[in-house]
Amino acid sequence: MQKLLNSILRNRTLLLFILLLALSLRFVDRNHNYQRSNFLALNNAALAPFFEARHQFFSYFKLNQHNQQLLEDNQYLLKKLINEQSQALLLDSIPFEVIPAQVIRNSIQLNYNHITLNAGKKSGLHKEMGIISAKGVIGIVHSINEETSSVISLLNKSLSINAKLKKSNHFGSLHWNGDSPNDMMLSDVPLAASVQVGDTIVTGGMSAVFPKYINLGVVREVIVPTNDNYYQLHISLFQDMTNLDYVYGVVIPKAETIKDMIIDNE
Amino acid sequence: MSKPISLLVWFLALVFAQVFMLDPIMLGIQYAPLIYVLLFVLLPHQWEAWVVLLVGFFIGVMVDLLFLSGGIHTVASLIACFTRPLLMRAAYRDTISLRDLKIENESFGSLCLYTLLIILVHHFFLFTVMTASWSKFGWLLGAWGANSILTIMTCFLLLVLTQKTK
Repeated sequence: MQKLLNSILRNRTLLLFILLLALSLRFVDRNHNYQRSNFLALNNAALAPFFEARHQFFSYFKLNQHNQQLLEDNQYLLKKLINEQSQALLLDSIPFEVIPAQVIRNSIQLNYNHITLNAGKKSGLHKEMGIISAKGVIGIVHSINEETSSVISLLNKSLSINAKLKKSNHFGSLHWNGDSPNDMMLSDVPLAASVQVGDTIVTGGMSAVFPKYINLGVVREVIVPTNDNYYQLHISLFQDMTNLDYVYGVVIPKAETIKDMIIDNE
Repeated sequence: MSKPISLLVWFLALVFAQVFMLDPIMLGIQYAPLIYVLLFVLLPHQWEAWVVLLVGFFIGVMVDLLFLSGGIHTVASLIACFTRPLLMRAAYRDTISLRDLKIENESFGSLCLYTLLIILVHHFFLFTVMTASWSKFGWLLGAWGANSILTIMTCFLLLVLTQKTK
């Protein structure tokens, strides 16, 4: 026993290092799995005022950039409205409303990135709500408190979004493979579909999170695998995920009913 | 100023500057210098290794909480603190015993070498844990190199500006 104690005391630095390293690797692992990420939720609640203050601080120096972004958003939405009114695309979709919020924290360098918003339950956001910007999908709310919410970013390897080719009804699954922040992958699109570089990808609407026809991006590269029946499509996002500011939570009427129906069908 | 107060001032100043002024995402740039690593250089070398480990862990957790980076800074900080004695020996190999070492009496060049080694080790493990994939080894090397150069230049500048004249 004495020998064991002596040995522990002699190697206490190494043992402490192993213990702390195991603990910190556990943090990393937990961060990789959003369903177990209590650490993140705790972080969000405790540090939200700090992030808000920091956001205000940086915003002061970025007023011109903000105005420019709002101008571009307005221009983009106006163009979209005019185009889609003539094509009546949204008639095919469930009408939805949006709740505005601002990004106060955004990570892009990890494999499993998250975004913090300055709006929470009080503003009407809720867990598993879809978040979009004027240009496209941003992510899904993961954890929430009264004032803030944490969103699983599109740049998170654990997230995949139901997507489709705008020009046809071929569906696939949009996900990030951890490379460039602008490079997404669309898989499960059958080879029977006609796909060309420049084709637009939109949400498929096969969930209670995002309605149909929310913009995602355009096909940048088409890979036809030799031993598979599905394309591997590289997608360039419309929204620059490294530069987020104003975003919107999507309120889908009867979302709960839709969810129940999906569960029943499964 | 006494050593503990001076360290606390360094800690607050570096962490504040890191989070408020040098956040790559808020600045809209790909890399920014990680100047908090300078804290590991400034920790008294007479401190017991286990105390340095605990302080390194605490600093890493703080930065992870503020950067929402889920543990990667904690891992890199811990490894940098664990390898600190080795790096110190490599930088101050002319000094017989580390216990007798007085950094302020040693050459500024040795201090720069010591800082450089700590930054390289810290950043290598930071980007390794960040990518967590050998398929992105090329990106890892690029990011490691680019971010290390930025951090080294900023830390050297801070060391020069705060260096006491003999």
